[in-house]
Amino acid sequence: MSQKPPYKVADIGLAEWGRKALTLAENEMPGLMMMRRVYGPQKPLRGARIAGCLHMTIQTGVLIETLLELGAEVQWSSCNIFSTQDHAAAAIAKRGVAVYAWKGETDEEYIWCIEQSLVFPNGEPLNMILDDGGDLTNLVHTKYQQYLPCKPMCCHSVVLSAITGISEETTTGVHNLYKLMTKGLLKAPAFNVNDSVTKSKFDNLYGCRESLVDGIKRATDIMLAGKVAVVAGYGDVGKGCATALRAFGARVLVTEIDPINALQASMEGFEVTTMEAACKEARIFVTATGCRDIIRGDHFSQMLEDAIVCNIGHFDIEIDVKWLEDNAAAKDTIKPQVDRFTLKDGRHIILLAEGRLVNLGCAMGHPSFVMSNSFTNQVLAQIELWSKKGTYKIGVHMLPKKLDEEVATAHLEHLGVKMTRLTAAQSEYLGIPLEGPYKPDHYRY
Amino acid sequence: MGVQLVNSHLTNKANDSNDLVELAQQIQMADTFVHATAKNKLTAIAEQIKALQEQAKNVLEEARLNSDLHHAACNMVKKPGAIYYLYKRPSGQKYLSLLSPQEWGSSCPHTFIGGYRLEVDQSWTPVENISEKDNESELMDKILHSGLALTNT
Repeated sequence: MSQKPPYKVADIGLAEWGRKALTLAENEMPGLMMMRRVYGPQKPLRGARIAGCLHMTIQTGVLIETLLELGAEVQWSSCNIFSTQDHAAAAIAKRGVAVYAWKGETDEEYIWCIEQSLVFPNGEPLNMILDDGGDLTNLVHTKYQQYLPCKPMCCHSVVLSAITGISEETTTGVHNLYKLMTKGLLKAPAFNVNDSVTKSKFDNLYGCRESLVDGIKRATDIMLAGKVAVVAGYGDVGKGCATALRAFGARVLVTEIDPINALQASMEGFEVTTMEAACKEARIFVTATGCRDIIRGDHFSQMLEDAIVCNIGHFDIEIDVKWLEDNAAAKDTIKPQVDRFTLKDGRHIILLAEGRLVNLGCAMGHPSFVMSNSFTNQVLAQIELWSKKGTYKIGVHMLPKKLDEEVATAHLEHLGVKMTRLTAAQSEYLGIPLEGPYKPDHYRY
Repeated sequence: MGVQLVNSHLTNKANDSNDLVELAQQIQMADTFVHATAKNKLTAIAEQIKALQEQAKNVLEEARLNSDLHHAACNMVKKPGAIYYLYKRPSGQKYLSLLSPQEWGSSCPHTFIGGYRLEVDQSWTPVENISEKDNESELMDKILHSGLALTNT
């Protein structure tokens, strides 16, 4: 039997630096700080044993400390082998949280880390999941089914300690939840945090708008102005990426499969074309589709010298890295997470973060402020699931719009926003309550 | 004639018929001594050479191990003072991990080769030699410290 270490991080000596960064981030995360003020005294998460699997960054550190302040016990792993910020992990480990994450895990170590977060020190298993991308959810649904609730008829003792709910952070993980649901495999109620407006319309869009270029610049110091860049996928993430690249003066091409998104891109002034056409003229390639096999061998063979290829979708299957590994004549690591492949005809391809999330692999991920929006939704979802145990059926749920609006409100003061209020007459004219919610559920923002 | 003060016969043995033999014996003895001394000195040098050879071999082996460890696949920023564990994949690739075989338990996916601590000078100390190395460096620290104290006063 393996002995479980109290935590596993790259260097606990970085804790002090991590703590300073956490302090800085707190001021930039007004939503989470509001949760601490409002819910801290009531401890609505008392008794919750949350296993979290989400990029172990400074922002996540503020999330973890918020969950603790709300009464939860927390154990953590990162949902990506490159995304951990070692100083953040160290600071969180130092304050006594069982965190298993370091930048540069192997695939096997990655699973080991998630497995360490399942059972708490008193021997009791997790009873809440906070997930990003669905790896933890899937691991529990396949290898550790004993922690899931069984049918109401049988063994009540197991039901009591079983997993009460799941909250999922990102598009890919939500997609996975719906897939599990359709197949009848989902065993606990889940919250789709991703599709809260204050999550996907902010973190995915404005987050990527700042962190994509940060990643490319830190990795390569390339001049973007005048270059041709291609963004595969024009969802929220793709929109942010395309806008950012254009703001630097790049000429941006977009590839899309959905006619609506293609039309949006086109009307924003982006040329929509195929990867087959784009691969011959672009210098910078960004995949943001959430799909697989977007940039393949036949594309690599036609790219310009030293084309930069990176991905900002959740999983590493958008770029066919294996083709590069198998077909390149040589691979030179310029620095960690920046590899230059020499193709057999002598041309080169620069691959960032091995085709995994470039903003987290090569830069520091999204800024705190936008993550505060996302994580406040996570905290609200955890409170909903835990404090209303048993009221949510197995399925994928969303936070009510009223809470979405509250998340947004929590972030206004920090930006000095001055709000206009409805008058009674206006409220009556529109048929909208004075205190909101201001939009119907089907409104798309 | 005056008084004879010294018996020259007794004080000068030059004419002794045994003198030559004694001289030869002395020379022979001296030869043996010289030979023995030279041999002793040579032995000491030979021993030193042997020790140096051994030391050189150790240094080379250590250098090879250090270089091997630095060239093993590793995605982490290596930090002096930390212990890393070397594993070998079925493909033959060796890589460094933060996880010990005990932490892996039965789920250990690859062959364990050894645990090593990275030192400040970028050398590696096998885990089994860590306490020895620590004692040694503590001693050196003391010497260094007392040396400093001397120059300061």
